[in-house]
Amino acid sequence: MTPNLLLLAMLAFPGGVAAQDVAEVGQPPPPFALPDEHGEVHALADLIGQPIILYFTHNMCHYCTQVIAFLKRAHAEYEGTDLAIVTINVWADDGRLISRYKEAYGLPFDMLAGKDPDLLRNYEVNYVPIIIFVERDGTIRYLYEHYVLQEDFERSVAEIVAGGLTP
Amino acid sequence: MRFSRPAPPLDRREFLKAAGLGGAAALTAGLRPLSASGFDPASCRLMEFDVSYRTQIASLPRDAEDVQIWMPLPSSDHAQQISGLEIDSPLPYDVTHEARFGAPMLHVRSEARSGVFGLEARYHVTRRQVGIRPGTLAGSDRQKYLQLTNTVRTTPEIDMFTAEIVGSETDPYAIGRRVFDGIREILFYDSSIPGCGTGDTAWIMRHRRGKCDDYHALFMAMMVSRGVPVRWEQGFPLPYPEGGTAEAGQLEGDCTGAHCWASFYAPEHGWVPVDVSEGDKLESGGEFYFGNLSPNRFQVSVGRSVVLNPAQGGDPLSSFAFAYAESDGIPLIYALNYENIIKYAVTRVEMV
Repeated sequence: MTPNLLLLAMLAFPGGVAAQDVAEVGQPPPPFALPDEHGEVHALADLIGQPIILYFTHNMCHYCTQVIAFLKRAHAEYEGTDLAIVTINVWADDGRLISRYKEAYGLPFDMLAGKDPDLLRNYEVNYVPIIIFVERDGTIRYLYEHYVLQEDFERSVAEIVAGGLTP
Repeated sequence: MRFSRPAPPLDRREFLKAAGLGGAAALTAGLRPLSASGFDPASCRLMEFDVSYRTQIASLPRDAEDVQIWMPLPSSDHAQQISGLEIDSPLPYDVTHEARFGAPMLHVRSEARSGVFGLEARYHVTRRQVGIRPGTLAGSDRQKYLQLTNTVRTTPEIDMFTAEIVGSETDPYAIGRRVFDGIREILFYDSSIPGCGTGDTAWIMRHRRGKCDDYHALFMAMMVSRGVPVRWEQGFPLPYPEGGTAEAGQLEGDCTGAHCWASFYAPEHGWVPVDVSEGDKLESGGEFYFGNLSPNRFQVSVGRSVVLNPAQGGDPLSSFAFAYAESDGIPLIYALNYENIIKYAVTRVEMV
């Protein structure tokens, strides 16, 4: 093995965050409990068993807000189902920013204050947006970083609502 | 490893097109990448260009009372001369300076009932190709170049990587060269990443890909971990003047259109500039960008984890290329509440 290959092999299994600690397709999403604009704490664990969309954003992400339109359409289309949509603003550590963001975009679903070091580490939030689709069995089916096309978004949400079967 | 995405990363323009963002897509029309494969970055000696940097408040929260904008201003130094600065503001403004590195910024404060307003700075930039800058670093200044942040940090895997490539080398210049080469060895320049990163070195090492912010965050973390002072230099890219010509264009005004590079201090040499990401992207850049910078760029601030002056209500900014706005101490929402429009027009190119 050349020195470079040896180095790459070493780095493939880093000694820091273990793979199972971070959000991975096929694995349960890392747990969190975060406050909303009223200070009420929402725990992800309370939603496990439902299809869940997790969406990470912040205030400087221009195109992230386009995904908000996808989420609002999904919210309307799947009203009456058990689909849970949870948005997380990683710049927010209290309710003021959340309250303004929700009002600005007319969000009909929860937005939580996500400026939490453990959350950022466990979900590996370096770039936003991140969109995660969680199945009823409590595992991540899809994890989109940076962007999601509308057709992929719609297919993903349809699959988790249908219980993992292609509708 | 979390490479198992359901689809390949999307191209930003593809996304914008698919999302029907005519306005945003139009914004990208004038944007060309800093890199141009095959271009010899050493062949351009000087570029001059006019810059118009405008921030427009478009709407405000219903309950907003106190509105503030901070816009970075470039300053003249060995690499660039700024001339003809003109500022248009309907409101009184101040030129203030960041406390650690002294970078200037424009600050405007308004009561929300004053309504929406804009702020524009226009200036002319003469930017030269620069190399190593001899100089000394006073002991009292040294510490500020050895500070990492909560995202630009060392981790066990970064320490392991640093130990592997630096070994027992103690000469700062030689360490810099090894780190420059080592990062280019393991990172992949991922142009599909749209931006808006935090320079999280743990993420970078785990995914081994990134853009300029990531390359230089890792460079900074590794160098500082070996006690080598690093100066983070934040600015904007212009196209390479292929054929000795360049044009006018517009840069993305959110978190995607900026560029960054760094300099490290080696006592026997002085400040050594590096552009690790360009050195990786550009076929001919691997040698040039260790110790040299091309002139198709301009710098607007220094340092990371930036506390503005007067201090913002939100967190320190990861870096300060784009004007930042708040109301009542709460960050405004980019593109909804305000927008940055950054235009340039190249007026002169001097090739070697």
